[in-house]
This record gives sequence, structure tokens and C-alpha cells, in this order.
Amino acid sequence: MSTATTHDDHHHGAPSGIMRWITTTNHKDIGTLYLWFAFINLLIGGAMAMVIRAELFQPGMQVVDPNFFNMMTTMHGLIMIFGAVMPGFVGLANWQIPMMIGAPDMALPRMNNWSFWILPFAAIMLIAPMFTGGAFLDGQGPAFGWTMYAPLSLQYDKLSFFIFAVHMLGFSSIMGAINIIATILNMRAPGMTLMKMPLFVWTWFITAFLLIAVMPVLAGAVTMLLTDKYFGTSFFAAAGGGDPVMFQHVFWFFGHPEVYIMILPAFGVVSQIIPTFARKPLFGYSSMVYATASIAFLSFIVWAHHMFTVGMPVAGELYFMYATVMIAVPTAVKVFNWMATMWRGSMTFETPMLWAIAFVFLFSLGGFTGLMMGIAPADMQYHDTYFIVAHFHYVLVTGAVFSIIAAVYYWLPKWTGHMVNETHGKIHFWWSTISVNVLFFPQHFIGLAGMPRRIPDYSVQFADWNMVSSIGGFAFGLAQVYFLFVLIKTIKGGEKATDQVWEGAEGLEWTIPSPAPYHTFETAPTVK
Amino acid sequence: MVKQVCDAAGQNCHWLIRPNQSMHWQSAIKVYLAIAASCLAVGVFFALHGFWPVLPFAGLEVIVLGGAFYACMVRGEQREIVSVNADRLTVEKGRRKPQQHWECPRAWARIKLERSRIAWYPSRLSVAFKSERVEIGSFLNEQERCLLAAELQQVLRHNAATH
Repeated sequence: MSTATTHDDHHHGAPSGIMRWITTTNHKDIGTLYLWFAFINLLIGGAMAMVIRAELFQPGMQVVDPNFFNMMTTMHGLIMIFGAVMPGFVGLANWQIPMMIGAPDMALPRMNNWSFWILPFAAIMLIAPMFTGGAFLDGQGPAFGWTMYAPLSLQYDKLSFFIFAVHMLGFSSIMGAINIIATILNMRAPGMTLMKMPLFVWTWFITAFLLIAVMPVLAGAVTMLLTDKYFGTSFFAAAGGGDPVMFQHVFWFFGHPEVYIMILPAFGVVSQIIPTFARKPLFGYSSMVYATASIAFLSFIVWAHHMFTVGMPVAGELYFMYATVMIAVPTAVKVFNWMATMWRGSMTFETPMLWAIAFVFLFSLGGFTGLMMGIAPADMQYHDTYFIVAHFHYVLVTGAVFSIIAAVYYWLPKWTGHMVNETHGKIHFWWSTISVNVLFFPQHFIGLAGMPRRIPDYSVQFADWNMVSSIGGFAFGLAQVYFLFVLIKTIKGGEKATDQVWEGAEGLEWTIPSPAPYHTFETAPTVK
Repeated sequence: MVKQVCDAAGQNCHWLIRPNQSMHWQSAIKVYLAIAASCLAVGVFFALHGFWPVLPFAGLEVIVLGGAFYACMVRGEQREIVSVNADRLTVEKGRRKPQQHWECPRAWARIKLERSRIAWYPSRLSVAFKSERVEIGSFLNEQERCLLAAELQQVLRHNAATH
């Protein structure tokens, strides 16, 4: 037996300044880092979207050259998915999961630190090729779409750089997912059985499983691109006996669950917010859990609905069509449960609730257009048009991004100790909600009229709605700069938040003081 | 989680300190095998179709997952026993058996609960003697740590009063 490790008896302070943030293993610090990282990327990816909408403001080439435009669409997609939405949800998970289950921290705090700190370097690697040309931003970045389809992506000179960045993003996600699973399984407060966990925790638990299952597929896919490009293999090169279509199969085996990785935590957020402001328990808790699990399972067996037009056998098309449409069932369970929760509730419409209701309505709209595209013969018409751009932006912007914003408004008083100014929050909400519809709703029309996606120029018949869409885009972009103002104002001061913050809020995180202090759980967590 | 046992006079007390663990080894192994099987099944599926590079990544992930689960379970088995008798305060730490031992005269032992100057950070509880100190209960919730500090201080104060 050895002598227990002793320390000199002097004050052991936590590191300060920048070293605090680099070396931190505290879940609240890391959650904060993730959320700011996500917000910065939202602005960077948003700036790219502004370039896209500026170019599409009118037909003809005005602002950028076609290659630069393609680079913008590629980088916008990658940054928004891997840099904004996913880190945003991981940030919320870091902040909330330990507090919601009564744990002192995440199960693997050092791994948590690594998961985050890989991200900025990966993001820099992803963006850096844009700055490597002879002139500033002369278009050396990836320009083959976020889906990196072979053989187009194989023509890119700096593919190895890109693939390394994707690997780093993948490692970060996997470590984050492992940490979340370990935390939820192993660190729940006594009495908190699985079926007593808050829905946000449940949805993240299932999301983490999805991440673990599909990330190796992405890693394998990009590695095969790498070996095809530099080591003479022919996984996807037809000339060597490979099959480029198989890249699409492999990619979407990852890519479709990825869509649910970005939306399941959003379901969790909304399932926390709606009962609070309806002042009723969530309707059909168990069915919500099972619906989430069903959606996750189905997400693995529907990938080829992204590729109805590649020339699959009819049996394959039919299978993927039926499987896809089946997802509507558990999703509808969720939507109806949210509605039933609101039904005859003592509803109030504070800012988080407004965002949550907008989520339910607008996400459902995106879901309906998804159903339209799930029907294979109809998809032959919609495929690669602006209709799908409208669809996935309704799902990802008014779905995932709106839910993250809702979550920030909901939990910000707990994090900062200050209430958000309701007037500012509501201005942000109405400004965003109106402008996002001006931005994306017309894209349904131009898509149905036949405008292809990912083009910098278009026929004049699409001009009017493109102009409307661009105006909406600029307004929506500005609204998010206003959000930054609201955030900073709330962090700096404001009306003092109570411990419970919202009258109808229930759960362990609302039993501790606001802001969530070092003495998390001053009274023993009790789970009823 | 803290369990305190004292004799009737309150002179000799023991505290068994352990982290909260909501999953046991058996469940951990079952969950791990289920995740590993599904992960490897995906890898094997692609390998059978000629896309073998997915499999090593799946394998690597399964290894990392196993390591993470193992680390969590091992950490969950950490135990700390603080014993106070008539003249000694003893701290024992270990997993399954005592692996580290530290003791000091009861009369000179000090209990220190240091708040971090960063609001979000947890406090640190330690037993100090002269220039040495041993941290205890680092894996506890804040409430449990504060309670333990209060109990230890009360017992030591009781000692000071009776001598």
C-alpha cells in the first residue's frame, strides 16, 4: 500500500485567462465553448449563404465566378452541418445533460476537452484551402458539394487536406457521443431510471448511438476517396472496375442518419419547452421515447431515397419509398403529442415558446415536403431542384437551428443568471420567422418550376422569386447579428433570474440556483 | 455517495465515500456488446461488399468505446474511507482493496473546503496536516461534498471540545 497522493497546502486555483478555456474539463465551460464555436460558424456559414444569395439576386453572373460559387455552396453546407448545428447541439448536451440527470460532470471530462479542441483545428483545415490561391479567396477550396460525390471530388487537388479535416470532425463527434452515452448510463442520480429521464436526455442518448454507428462509415468513405486519389485503388473509379454510384450508397448510409443526428436533439429541446409553457406534463412521454427510437432505426434503412434518380431497380425504389414514408408515422406521433401537450394548457408565449411553436409548424412543413420527395416517381421531378433546397432548409433551419435558438432562450437565464429581455427576444423571433419564410418558401415555387440547385446563373423566368428569396436571406442573416446583440446584452446583465426561471419548468436543472453555480445541487437531487 | 458510521459516543467515525454509479458491470458489458455488434455489423456489411476500409474504423471505434466504458466502470469502483478515532485521522483510497494510506494526528487535522474563484467550478475538499493535504470526495456532487465537510468538521470539533 502506498501513501495517498498529497499536495502542498496552498491554494490550488484553476488556471485563468486563455489557459482556463484550453485546459478546462468542466462541462459548463466546454458547453460554452461549443456554443460559441457553433455561433461563430453560423455567422461564417451564413456569410457564405449571403454570397450565394447575392449572386442569385439576379440572373447572370454578377458577384463571383462559378467555381467560387460552387465553393460557397460546398463550404456553406459543411460549415453549417459540422461547424454550427452539430456543435450547437453538443454544446447544449454538455451544459444540460449533467444538470438534468444530477451528475457532477460528464463521465469522461478529459475526452470532453479533446472532443472540443479538435474542432477549431478541423474547421481551420476545412476553410484554409480557400485562402491558399494566388489572390485572396481565388477559389482553391473544395467545390464539389458537401456530399463529396466521386468522381467529381477526386478531381480536387487538395483532397487530402479536406479528408484530414473530415476525419478530425468525425473523431470529435465519436468522442462526444461516447462521452454522452457513458454519462447517461453511468451517472444518473439515484432514482432516475431510464424512463424518468427528460426527453432532451433521451433524444441525445439515441443520437449518440446513431453517431457511433455511422461515423466509421463516413471515415471509411473518405478514406476510400483518399486511396482512390493517391494510392491507385479503384473503389469508386469506373476505369479501374470501381463504381461511382457506390460512393453515393456509402455516403448516404452515413448521410441520412446524420440528418436525424441533427434533428433528434431538436425534438428533445421542443419536448422540454412546450410542457413548460403549456403548464402540462408532456403528453405521451413513453410514446415519444419509442417514436425517437423508431425514427433512429428507420434512418438506417432509407438512405437510397437520396438517389432515386441514379437508376436503381424498381424493387429497390419501391422498398426505399415505402421505408421512407414509414418515417412519417413516428414523426407524426411526436407532432401530435406536442399538440396534445398544448391542448387546453395554460399557455403563455414567452420567447422560447414562440420558437418552439414555430419549430413545430415549420418543421412539419419541411416534413411534408419530405414526404412528397419520398415518393419515388414524384422525386424524379423534384430531384436536384430548388424544391429540395427549400425542403432541407425548412428541416434544418426552421427545425434544427430554430430549436437551438429556442434552447438558448430557454436555458440562458439558468446559464447567465439574467432573464432575456422579452421585447428583444420577440423582435428576434418575428424578424427571423418572417424573413426565413420569405427566404425559403419561394424556393418551393422555383424548384417546382424546374430551377436546378447548385447553379450560379439561371433562366429569367426564375428571377422574381429568386430576388424575393435573396431579400429574405439578407434579412434573416441580419436577424442573427441582432441575436448576437441579444446574447451579449443578456450575458452582461438584465433582470435577475429565479432558480426555477419559468413558472411551469420542471426538472433537476431548475432546482439549482441561476446562474448554475459551482455548487450544483445544493439540495440533494430527488427524482419523483 | 457518502455513508457515515459512528459509535455511540461519536468518537470513532468512518465515512465510506464512493462515486454514484447508475450502471453495473453486467449492464455495461451488455450495452457495450450490443453497440459493438451493431457497429461491427455495419463494418462487416460494407467489407462484404468490397468496401473494407469501413471495418477498421468501426473496430477502432469499438476499442475506444470499450476503453471509455472500462475507465468509467473502474472509476466507479473507487472508494475512499476516512476514519477518525480517538487520536488519529486516517484516509484510505483504493479500488477493491486499500491502495493508498495517509494518516495524521486527529488533534491537528484540518478540513478544508475550497471554493473555486471560477463560479462554474466545483469546490475541493481536503484533509490537511502541516503542509500536506489529501483531497477527498473529488467525484461527489457539490451537495454531498459540502455535507461531508460539515460532518468531518463536526466530529473533529467534538473531539476538540471533549479533550
